[in-house]
Amino acid sequence: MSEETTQPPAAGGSQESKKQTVRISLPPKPAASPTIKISVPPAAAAKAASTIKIPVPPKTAAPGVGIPKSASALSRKTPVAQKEEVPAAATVEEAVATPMRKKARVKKTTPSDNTFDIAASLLVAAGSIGLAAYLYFVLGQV
Amino acid sequence: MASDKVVTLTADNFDTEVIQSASPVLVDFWAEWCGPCKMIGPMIDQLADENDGKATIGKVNIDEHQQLAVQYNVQSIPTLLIFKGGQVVEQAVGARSKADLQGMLDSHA
Repeated sequence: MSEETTQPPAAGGSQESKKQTVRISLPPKPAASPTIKISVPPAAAAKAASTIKIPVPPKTAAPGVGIPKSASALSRKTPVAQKEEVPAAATVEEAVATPMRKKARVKKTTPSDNTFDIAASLLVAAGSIGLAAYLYFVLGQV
Repeated sequence: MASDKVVTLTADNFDTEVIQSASPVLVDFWAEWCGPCKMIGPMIDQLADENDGKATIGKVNIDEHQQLAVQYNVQSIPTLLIFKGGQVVEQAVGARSKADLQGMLDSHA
């Protein structure tokens, strides 16, 4: 395609010169696309992500959900059973939608939360120890 | 004396005068300070007069339109490009005789 010549032109034989070409320095050719690409997530993924909405939890627990502190040991087991009956969350949205209610129930049913429960537990433990000691002595004499 | 048949090519008219031209176009890349360019200047003018209507003869001053020189990878001057159908069909670097240049034009007419 290209052919570099060093011969003088035939028609201008008297116009001889030492150099027939002049070397030039030009800036490099710019890149084909001098742009900065920004990585944007796919539209489908963005749409799916936008559909997962986390509801704002209520600031206070719903009235009537909690169990009174004076409830008996029998009634204490009820909320535990209710907790087990709560179906597992099928989706992320359901799991996120009911976090505070379950938390409140677990907290209310903890026996160490009130002194009455502690005293009752100690009393039962002492009674058990006494019964065991009584049976040991009675059966041991026989 | 410069011929008025020689088209002064710029970045603005290069597309219409060269790329979209139906006839062959001889483009001379030159500069004021280039001795060999001045040497073939009169021959370029004569070719423009003699090929009027058959071919277009144009000149690009690389100092004024450097981007065109970069675009066509001109590294030495004079560089003579022959365009046909918007494409470079022949290239010659350095001074050439008038007969050589006329032969190049005729081969692509």
